[in-house]
Amino acid sequence: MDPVTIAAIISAGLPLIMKLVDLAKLFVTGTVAKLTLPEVQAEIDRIMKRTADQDAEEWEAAGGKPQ
Amino acid sequence: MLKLLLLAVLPVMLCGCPTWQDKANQTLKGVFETTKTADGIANAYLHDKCMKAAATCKARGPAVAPMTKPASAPAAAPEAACPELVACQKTKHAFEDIVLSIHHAIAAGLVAIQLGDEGLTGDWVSKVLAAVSHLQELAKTAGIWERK
Repeated sequence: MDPVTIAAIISAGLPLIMKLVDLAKLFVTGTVAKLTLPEVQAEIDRIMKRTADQDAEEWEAAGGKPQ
Repeated sequence: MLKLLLLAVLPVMLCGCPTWQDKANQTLKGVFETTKTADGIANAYLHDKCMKAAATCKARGPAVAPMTKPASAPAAAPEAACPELVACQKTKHAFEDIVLSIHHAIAAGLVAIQLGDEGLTGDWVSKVLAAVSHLQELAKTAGIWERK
């Protein structure tokens, strides 16, 4: 196959290649789970609640917090 | 011909060409997961330590007993009732404050990614990493580091 034919085939197939690249990108970025804001916010809320619960539990174990 | 096409497309497909947003998200995700694990280990250790301190105070008796004080009596400071527990909780709260600051910086980094601001994202990633170093220092001084 001569170079001119190869070049013609490649240029004709370029839109198809671009589509394949887009699909590949979508596949890669779609399968790698991303970190989201609600996930981080949920962790912040969980830690704050845990701290309050533990503090209360610890003072209860000490016999109560002075008022 | 097929070989030629594959040679042209495959490297791009395999690379996936992650954008700066993808890379920054993965960095933040990595720190988020590591911090979550470290926080779990440190909190279990510190909560256990605080419960032991609380038990010591309760066993001592009189120092904790006047908590049901008459209304006219001045308010007793928690430090006077159980200094061991107050000191332990101080360390636990300091550790949690840094963990929360890391998570807040991660959240800010995610917002910067959404805004499409690469410079701002870089600033927040730097702040996240600085807070992680701070957390490591505290873990070392509080004796938590050896437990990782």
